[in-house]
Amino acid sequence: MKRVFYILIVFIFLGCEDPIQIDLPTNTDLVVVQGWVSNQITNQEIVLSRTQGFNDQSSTVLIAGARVSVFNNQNDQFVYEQGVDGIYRSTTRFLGVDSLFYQLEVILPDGDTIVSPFESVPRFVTIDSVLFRQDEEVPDDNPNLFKTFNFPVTWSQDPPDIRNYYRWKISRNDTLFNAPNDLELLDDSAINGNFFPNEFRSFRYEFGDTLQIELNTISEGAYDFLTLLKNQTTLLGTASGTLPATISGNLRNRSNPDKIVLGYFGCFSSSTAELILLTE
Amino acid sequence: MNCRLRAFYILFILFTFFLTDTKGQGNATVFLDKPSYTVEDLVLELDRQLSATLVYSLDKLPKITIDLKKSRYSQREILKVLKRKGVASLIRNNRILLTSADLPGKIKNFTLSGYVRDAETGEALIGAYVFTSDNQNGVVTNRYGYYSMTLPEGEYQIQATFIGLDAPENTISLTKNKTHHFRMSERVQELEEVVISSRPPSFNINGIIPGINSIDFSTDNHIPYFMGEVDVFQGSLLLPGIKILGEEAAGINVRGGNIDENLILLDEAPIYNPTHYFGLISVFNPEAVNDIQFLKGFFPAQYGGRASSVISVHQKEGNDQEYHFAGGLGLLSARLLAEGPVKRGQSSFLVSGRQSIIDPTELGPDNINRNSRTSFRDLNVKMNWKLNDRNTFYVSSYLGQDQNRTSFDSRRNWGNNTLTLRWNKQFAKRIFGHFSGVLSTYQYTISDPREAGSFKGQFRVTDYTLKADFSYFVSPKSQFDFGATTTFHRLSPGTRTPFDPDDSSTNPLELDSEHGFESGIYLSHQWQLLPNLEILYGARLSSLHNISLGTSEIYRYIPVGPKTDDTIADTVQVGNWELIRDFFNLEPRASLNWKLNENTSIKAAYNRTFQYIHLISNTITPSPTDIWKLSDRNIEPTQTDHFSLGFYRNFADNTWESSIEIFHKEIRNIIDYKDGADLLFNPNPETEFLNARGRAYGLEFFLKKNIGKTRGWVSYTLSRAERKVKSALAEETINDGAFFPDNNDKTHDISIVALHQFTPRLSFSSTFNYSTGRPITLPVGKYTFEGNPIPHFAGRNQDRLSDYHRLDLSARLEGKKVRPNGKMREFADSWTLTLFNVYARRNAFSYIFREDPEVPGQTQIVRYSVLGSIFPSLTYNFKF
Repeated sequence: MKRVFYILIVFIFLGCEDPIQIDLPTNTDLVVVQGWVSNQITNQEIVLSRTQGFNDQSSTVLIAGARVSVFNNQNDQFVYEQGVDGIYRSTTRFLGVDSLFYQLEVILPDGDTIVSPFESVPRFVTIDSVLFRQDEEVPDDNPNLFKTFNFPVTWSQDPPDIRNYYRWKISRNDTLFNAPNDLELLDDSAINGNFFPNEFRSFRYEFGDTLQIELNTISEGAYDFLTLLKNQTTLLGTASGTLPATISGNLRNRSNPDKIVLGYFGCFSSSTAELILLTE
Repeated sequence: MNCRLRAFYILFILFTFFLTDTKGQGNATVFLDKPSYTVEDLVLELDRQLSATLVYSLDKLPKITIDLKKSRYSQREILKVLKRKGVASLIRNNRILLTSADLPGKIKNFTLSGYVRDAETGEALIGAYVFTSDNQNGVVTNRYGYYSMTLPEGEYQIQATFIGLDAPENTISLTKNKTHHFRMSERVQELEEVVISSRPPSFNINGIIPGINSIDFSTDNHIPYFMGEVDVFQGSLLLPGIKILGEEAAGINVRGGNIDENLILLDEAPIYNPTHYFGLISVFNPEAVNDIQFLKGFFPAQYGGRASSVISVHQKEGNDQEYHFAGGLGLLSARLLAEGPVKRGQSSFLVSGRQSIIDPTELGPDNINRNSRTSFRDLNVKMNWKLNDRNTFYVSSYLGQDQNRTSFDSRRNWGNNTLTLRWNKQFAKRIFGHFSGVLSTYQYTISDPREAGSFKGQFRVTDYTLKADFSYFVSPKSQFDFGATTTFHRLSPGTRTPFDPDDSSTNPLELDSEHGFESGIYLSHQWQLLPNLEILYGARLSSLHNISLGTSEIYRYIPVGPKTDDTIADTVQVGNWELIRDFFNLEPRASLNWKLNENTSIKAAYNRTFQYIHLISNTITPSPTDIWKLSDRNIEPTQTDHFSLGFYRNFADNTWESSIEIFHKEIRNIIDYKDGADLLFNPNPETEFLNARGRAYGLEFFLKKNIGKTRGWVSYTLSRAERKVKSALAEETINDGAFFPDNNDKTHDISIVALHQFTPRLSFSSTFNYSTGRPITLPVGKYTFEGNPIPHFAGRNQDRLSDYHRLDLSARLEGKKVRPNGKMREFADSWTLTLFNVYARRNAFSYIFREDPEVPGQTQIVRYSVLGSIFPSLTYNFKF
């Protein structure tokens, strides 16, 4: 009879993350566009900026002196003007109309013209209801404890006849959860035509907190763009990350087609709700 | 090649025809009154009685006695009697030529064959070397421990060697075909010898297959690994040409090939996911494994179906002499093994189980594996039954189960299951055959109770394989291998059902199953053409018939423009048992070994392979929940052409062995992916694919010291692996269509392994590893979108991580082996101290580019290291 036993004594140290310095290119100087037309009547906003070196810690360089307009397919022009904060706002209040298409045109100070395709305003879907739900978890720092936490759940009716793409913006006490991980996106492939719930477990609320939640329906292109944006800011470098690449948006430089333009111009329909988590 | 084969057969038939006697014509009668004659007397008597002239030379005729059953024979009858006794006759013009049945001067050949087994356990020894003690003839046992050697009639001293084992030399008088089994026992004095390979030291010179490495599992645990685990994949990384992306990466890359291009066989059953813990250790339980063979570049025609390499793992057969139990308790896993005879000397069983203990993935930094729990268990079973010398039956099975759960109760379960039934049959002395039926499945389930769209998802690939393989040992200089195989692949690429069956908010989804028959027939010939030149050549004809079972939908795309949902021209309904697409390909294989002298050889090889099943994964390292997909109308099979040339030299009576190999590989139709490809539950994933070409080339250097107090090896690989994605469409092109470094491209890769026996009880080992950092894409800038800094990337893989290096040390102290009274102890024990990553190098797995959590608005670069610290572990082993 032969027996083999192993007894191991091992000391565990943790895997680690260290901030490091790497020399990176200083400037690629590309134009970045961020802009949405919503179905709410308001002064719609466009932000124009430039890329900077990754190691450059100065604040974002906004582009001043551009001529910015949004056209719809009925040839209405909405002119934007730059505010003191550098953001361009439409000089008139207007809303994105469901059946219409909108195009952004930017003439940069150097004369280059940047355009988007005509973007449609996706069909409006409402937040039917919202409530808080409670669950328990074992916190990382104390494995012997069960801690309860509260998170919001919404219900909506997905339209059956079309593909729908959703984005939620969630705030607590008027502060938007805005980290890349807080980007909540959903396409309707698994829920098409259904009255569907959505749990937001990573958004935690204490008694007395106010929830503001906004449901945006967006286009497929905007959904793909935001999904790439989220993946490249949250998964990159992990084993489940994909290979990094340029995140292509929907803008192009009409004067110089070889110059790529980053960012996205899109339209969305918005439905909002607010709820206070009351003590029991 | 077929022409050469045909010519060979014609020659063979002519040759045998010449050996058979031509028919005599005469009906003359002879009377023989004695009941027995010597050949000489009989010939003289015939000469006297027959009218025909007899031509013979008495000293060429056999000196034997012939018993006769009757006294009256016709000429034809008595010549037949003579023929049976080895005297051939040839009749021409009323003259009868009598000769020995062999050609004048030809010596008779007989076959010696049998099995080489471990005397203690009855285990077949794969790769044992059986040779005549004059070293003129030698063969290596096959996968079942079987050897066959055809030699001229005579008396031989026959020996078998297997590292660490001995068998007494045997004198065999080969006057007819003989069976001789070797039962080899341990060389007691060398029990503690550190063994690098079980092959005989001269194997690298004599073997015909270049780029082959084998690992002897039982002794490899002398080389320190992470947390004391013995692991085939980690061990293989110390050999030239085999690489891994990083410490958290699943799967290995062989000579620039993708990780799905390795044919990983466990007792002939393909393993689709060979690792546990996301790549940290392999599914091969070291307790249950007998032998592992790596074919890195060239593989003979009996292997097919994958483009880059063959990793063939054989489970132990179980001890057919006595019952044994073995076990182990490590930090990562606990193991238990039971083996023993069912019927002593005839049949045996082996059962081995393994269960994970702690979860090493919890050691990761918070943002990677927070709150996730991973575990696994596996079970290996094998039984064999030696019916007689000619028939052996095997049943072998592996069941694996992995589980991963996140804090949100999202669960993933996955695992391989295999069952192999095999019948080894020796038909004649020189023909060895085996027949197998293999079932292999890999499946995963994901369940996510979270809204919205809570679901249970499932993927499964099932292979049903039938195989017949034959070896025909013509002579020690010539061997044919031929056979046929067919595999029915059944792939269920994804079903998605509501997590709660009563939940009406989630729609069920079932993607069409894929079915295909992948078949191959092959013939190869290993031939010692000249005393110093051996060739192995052959071909495999492989095919895939992708068929529809039930009805399937096929998407046809507009021929110009990218494949997207919007460019689907029409959707074709394909009916039950209709062919979707078929492929036929010829895969030539050839290898040559030119021995310059006893210690030096040159080997050259070429092979072409086709792969019809592909892993669909666009993450940096594959995930257990990636799917596999068959080649179809939109996916071409991957084709590889591989060339290698090597120079092998041993020194100082095989104390040192060395090799330098260069290789070049061209790979066509590799699947690459569009940026942001969405592959999960995608009914038409081809819209996310790009077609890539690959090429890899390099030089591998290996120097090993086999014998002595200090042993070990140096392995160095200088190589390049590149990829090219070029299309007429800009959106289907990467890096402007130029070649760029593949993810697994590491220019320099060095491993140094040293083992030293200080005293009979104290030994040390050390392993040092250095490699160039893998290619990565660094941001060329950043921008702000909705308040978050976004890194901006341009060309793919234009930069590299910092270089990787690591030193591991271990020391092993044996307990005393001799009692104070001078008798050997039955009880043996040892302490092993292992230091993994001695100088705590924080090797980068990746760089993360993100917003500084401390300073909002500022960005930082973070180096993520998986095992970026020293991991000491102390092991106590004992056995009795």
